[in-house]
Order: sequence, then C-alpha cells, then structure tokens
Amino acid sequence: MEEIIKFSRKELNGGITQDYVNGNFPIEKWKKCASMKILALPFPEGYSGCNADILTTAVALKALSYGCKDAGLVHAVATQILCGLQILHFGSEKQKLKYLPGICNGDMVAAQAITEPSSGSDAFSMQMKAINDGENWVLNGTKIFITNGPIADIAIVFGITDKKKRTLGGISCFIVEKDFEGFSRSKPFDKMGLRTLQNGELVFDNCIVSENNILGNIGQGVIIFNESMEYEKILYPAIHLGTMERLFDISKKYSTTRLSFGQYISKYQQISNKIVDMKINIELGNLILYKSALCKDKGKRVNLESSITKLFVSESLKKTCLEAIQIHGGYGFMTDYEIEKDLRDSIASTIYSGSSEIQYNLISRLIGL
Amino acid sequence: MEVNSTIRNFIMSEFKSNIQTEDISNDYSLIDSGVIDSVGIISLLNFLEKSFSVIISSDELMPENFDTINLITSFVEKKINSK
Repeated sequence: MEEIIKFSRKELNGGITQDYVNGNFPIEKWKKCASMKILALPFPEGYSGCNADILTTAVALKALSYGCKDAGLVHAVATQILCGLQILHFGSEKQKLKYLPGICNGDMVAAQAITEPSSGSDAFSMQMKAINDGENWVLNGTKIFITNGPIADIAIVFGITDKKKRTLGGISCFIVEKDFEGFSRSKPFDKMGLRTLQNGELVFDNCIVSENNILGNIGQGVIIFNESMEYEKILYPAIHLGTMERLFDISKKYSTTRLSFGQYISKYQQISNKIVDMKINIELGNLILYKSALCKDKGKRVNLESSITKLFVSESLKKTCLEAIQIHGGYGFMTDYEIEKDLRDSIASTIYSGSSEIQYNLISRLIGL
Repeated sequence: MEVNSTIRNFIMSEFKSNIQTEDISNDYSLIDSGVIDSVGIISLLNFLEKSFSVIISSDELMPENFDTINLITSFVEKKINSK
C-alpha cells in the first residue's frame, strides 16, 4: 500500500486547486490511476483485472485516499469499481467481455443511475419506466445526481418493468451506452464539495435498449441494487478512512509543533482529547470495515455490517474534519491548508449511498426491531 | 415440513405489518402483494442463510425463488440437499 500512497502523492496532488475551483474532471490523473491498475483491482485477470479480493481493494482505496487530496477523483475511481462489480456478478459472459476490460483500463467511464428527482433514499419509488415493445426495451425517465454521469460511457440504469409487482420483481437493470438513441447526459452540477467529481442528470427519452443489455434478469433490479449497496458501503467508507488517517496525522503533527502559552497544544487535554477521538474512530472504523470486507470475500451477506460501517465511518469523517479545523485554528479555516476542502468534501458522505437516517432504519430492521 | 414451518413462522412474524389478512396460504404471492419489500428480502436472505446454514449466491437471487412460502421452501430444500 506504500506504493499507492507514494504514487498518489507524486502523481495526483498537483494542480488540485485549479481543478477544484473549476469543477474539472482530472482526466490525466484518471488515466494514471488506470495505469497503476487501481480501477482493475477486484476483477479477474481474464477481463484485464488484478484478481484482488474486496479487502485488498478496500485497503488500496484507503491508501489512495490517504495520499490523494482530490476526494472527487477517488470517489470517481470507487464508483467505477462498483459499476464493474455489478457487471462482474450479474452480467452475461458477453457483457463482461464487452465492458470489463474498458472499465479496468479506464477507457470506459461507468455510472450507476438509481436516484431520481423525486426519489432519493426511497430509491424504489422511482418513476423510470422500461416497456418492452416486443423487440427492445424503451426507457423513459430522468435520473439525477448521478456520479460520473456527465462523462459516462455506460450507465447501469434501474427502471420499472412491472408496476404490479412493486419493488421486488418489478424493477430491472439495464446497461445503457452513451450513443444509444434517446439517451442524453447533462453538464455536471456545481457542488459545495467533491467538485472534481462529475455529478449530473441522465435523461432517457424513448431510449432504445436491446435484450442484450439487460443486466441480470428481468425483475432482478432490487437484488442487484442490494448486492451493489453492500460493496458501496464498504468501498466508500474505505476512502473516508484514508482521509481520516491523513487528517489525524497532520493534526497530530501540528499539535506537537504549535506552541501556545509556552507549551505545545497537544499538552492541553481539550486538544489531545480531540486527537484521541480521531484515533478511536479510525481504529473502530477500520475494524468494522475489515470485518465487512472479509465476510464479503467469504461469500457472506453483509447488509448489517456494511450499513454499520457506512453509518459509523461517514459520521466520523465529518467529525474528524471539523475537529481537524478546530485544532488548526485560523489556519484550518484558510483554503491554503486544504482542511476546509476535506470538510466540504465530507458533507455528502452522510447523504449518498443511503443517508445516515436510512442506515439507522436499515440496521433497526436487520436487528429485528 | 420443518423447513416450511420455520419459513412460515419467520414470514408471519417479520412481515406482520405488511400482511393484510389473518393468515396466508403457502402459495400466496409475497412479492405481488408487497409482503416482502426491498429491505425485507435482505432480512429473509439473512434468516435463510443463518437458519439453514446455506449460502445463497447472486445468480440464485431471482424473485421466482422467493415469491411464495412453498417456492422458498423448495429452494432451501434443494440447497440443503446439494450440500
């Protein structure tokens, strides 16, 4: 993992401010991540992958996030991997051969399209319709806030194929390519954080999708979604923990070099307690992350563990960012120190992939309340 | 029969609030009626894997395997017998 940290610091941290201010996607750095084989980590060698397990992939993403200060780029990488995993687990052999090599080498950018203007955490109240016209499926609807959407070459799209069956059995999943008739991508949205990450709207206006591009089976959408969320709630917390470890290191260093009233501020309990809390959250976050990843690698279901991981780590990330600014005082508030950027980047972590409130609901159901 | 009744008991207690009638038959469609929702399927899978020591893989996660108590029973029995 030292190699990934060294690579990130050397290759990915130049020119971040400019990209961040302008909201540009750092395509050259994306290509460098691809050359480093980071996008290819959990995929079999037969599809140009590295054959890494989920634990290794999570630890590698944590290292990437520790070294790379552009959280937007790191999120784009994690999203690419998540989309590839859905194709790996549910795609036909033909689909795997067609899409996975491009996902692994970065030539193809992938997005997952679930959220709609009127359905966020309540994902399955979606309105997107997919109707079989006898030969193809015709998609109509709009997806919003889609990560990698504005630059996506392919999108994994969820839509209603049988309204009567409600969520389970009534939702299906399609792989839509950017050149498909009736498919369009918006410009990226302007955001308070993760500004290099490209989020936008995907519009399906009588978009024609052939039978060959159904992912999994008709009616399997919710199951694909649940499986995908388990990976999502492992890989995003992994990148949050990388950021938390970086902030812990710089806060500790600052507190042991900054003098106040004749002694280093680390000697004041009000400061040392904050750093201790950071450390506790990192250690506990790592433990639940590794448990989730290990169980997933053993083929076990990890909805409960991954929901706890997501909830605990994303909430801890926000606290860590706030405390890091507080420890750095006025300097922490200045953009030059880049900590305030981490705070802005962290805000969405308790919203996407199921908000904290939804994670509480899920955990409550899963423990039988 | 034991598998069937274990599954039935779980569904009747776990999804009680989604069941509109006093009792349901073993062929009652749990999906069409909305008894098992998107979160419910996770609880059901967790329960089946723990109770019967089986592992359910991604390609088996078809709505057809989970639509009724009888279908779930026969799916689980096949898994147990193939161990």
